[in-house]
Amino acid sequence: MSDDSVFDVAPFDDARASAYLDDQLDATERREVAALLDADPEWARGLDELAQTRTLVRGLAVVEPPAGFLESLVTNDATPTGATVTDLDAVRHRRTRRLTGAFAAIAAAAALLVAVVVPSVARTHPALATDVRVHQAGVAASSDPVSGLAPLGTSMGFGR
Amino acid sequence: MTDRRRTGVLLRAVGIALLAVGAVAVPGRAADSNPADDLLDRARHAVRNLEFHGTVRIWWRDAKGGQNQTVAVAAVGGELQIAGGKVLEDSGRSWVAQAGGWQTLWADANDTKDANAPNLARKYTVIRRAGPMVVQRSTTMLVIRRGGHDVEQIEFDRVTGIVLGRDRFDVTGAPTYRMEFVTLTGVRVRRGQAAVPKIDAEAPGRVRAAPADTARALTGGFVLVDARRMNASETQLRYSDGVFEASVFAQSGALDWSSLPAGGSDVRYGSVRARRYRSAAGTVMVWQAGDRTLTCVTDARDDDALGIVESLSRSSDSDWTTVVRFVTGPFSWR
Repeated sequence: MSDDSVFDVAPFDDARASAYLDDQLDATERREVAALLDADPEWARGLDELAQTRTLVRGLAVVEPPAGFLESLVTNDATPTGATVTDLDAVRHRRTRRLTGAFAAIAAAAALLVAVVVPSVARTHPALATDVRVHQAGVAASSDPVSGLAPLGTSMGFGR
Repeated sequence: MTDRRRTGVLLRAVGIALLAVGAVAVPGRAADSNPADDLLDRARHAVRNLEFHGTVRIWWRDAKGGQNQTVAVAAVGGELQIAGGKVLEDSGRSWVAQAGGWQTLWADANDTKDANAPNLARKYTVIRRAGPMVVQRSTTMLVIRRGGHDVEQIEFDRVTGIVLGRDRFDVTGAPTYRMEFVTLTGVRVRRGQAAVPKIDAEAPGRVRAAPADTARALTGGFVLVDARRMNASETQLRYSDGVFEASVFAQSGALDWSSLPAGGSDVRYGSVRARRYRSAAGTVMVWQAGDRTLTCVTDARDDDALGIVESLSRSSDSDWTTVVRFVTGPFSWR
């Protein structure tokens, strides 16, 4: 580099060159890159190579995978070449199933614990006729025996 | 009439007269003595010491309207026999005939007014006046009033003290219940002592003390009179306002509504749903409070019944837990 150069020449930068090709630099940066291309043959050559490569890649036909290849990626952990491929969706699905199972097991255990340790609330069948008789017996003992007990001679229709 | 027969009639008359005079002197609770207590003490004394045969007619109002039934009553040898002896009473103890024998309803020979019952004057006014003729016998009527309406009228035989008639009224003053003798014969001084059934070993009985957390007072001036054990899973809490009693039977467990007999109607007391029945014995209400089933039997007016249900439903679960544990605990009663 000569002493009279107006600025130091920066080494070729793929990202900056790619952005230049894609017209994604602002005016100042674009002028700088243009100056580099004029001043440095390495920059000019590098930009040509990058442009050609992009053209080649974009011109390639879309390659279809062999039949069953994608399915094999989902069902097998290993590719035909032996490399390990992780299907994240499948992993998440398995993890969800394991968590669901764990929660179900915990819930079942808790329900069993409640059933065994905590007494269940029994259903009661009040014996109304007996309750009425005992009540009236108390009324008879503390008030008047005749008017207290005579109602028990009627058909109350309470069953027990 | 021969001299011997005349002497017998005279002796019987003197006996009844002496009994009547003596009955008035039955010791009451001097501090809380009032006309109602004195007259009811005398009525109990008369049933225990006289003999008679009679028929009472009971009228009450239920969901179908007014109902009428007659029931035979007899006092023989100190024993009161209801419906031909299907129900027996002797000095406070009582039994009912069952298929397998006698079921003891009340095991305590304490035929006196509950000592813990409040004085009725706190809630009611009492008027004593001449009553109507009942089975051709003159009566003394006790009128119990509240808020300008009669709530109860009791007609006592002037000579013997036997209760010959009893009426109850609703909030509006309309009658809800009437019991009256329609026949009464063979009134005489008691002779001998009739045999009575045994007291069941598992008969309901009073506990030494009510659970500490039991509601001691309910809306409407009802106070706890005593707590009784019905069986291994049920307790009876008895409340009184000085005139009416309310028994609350508490069981642990959810109410099986489908097990209740037909004939009741669903009513709401505030937020509480209850099944209510009307019978000759008064009002029966069943409802669920928390995980307990409560049954209230009372002859009190509906406004008082409402207060009882509401105040019991407000009791906390911990209160009822204590009550249930109390009666189901192995060393907690008797």
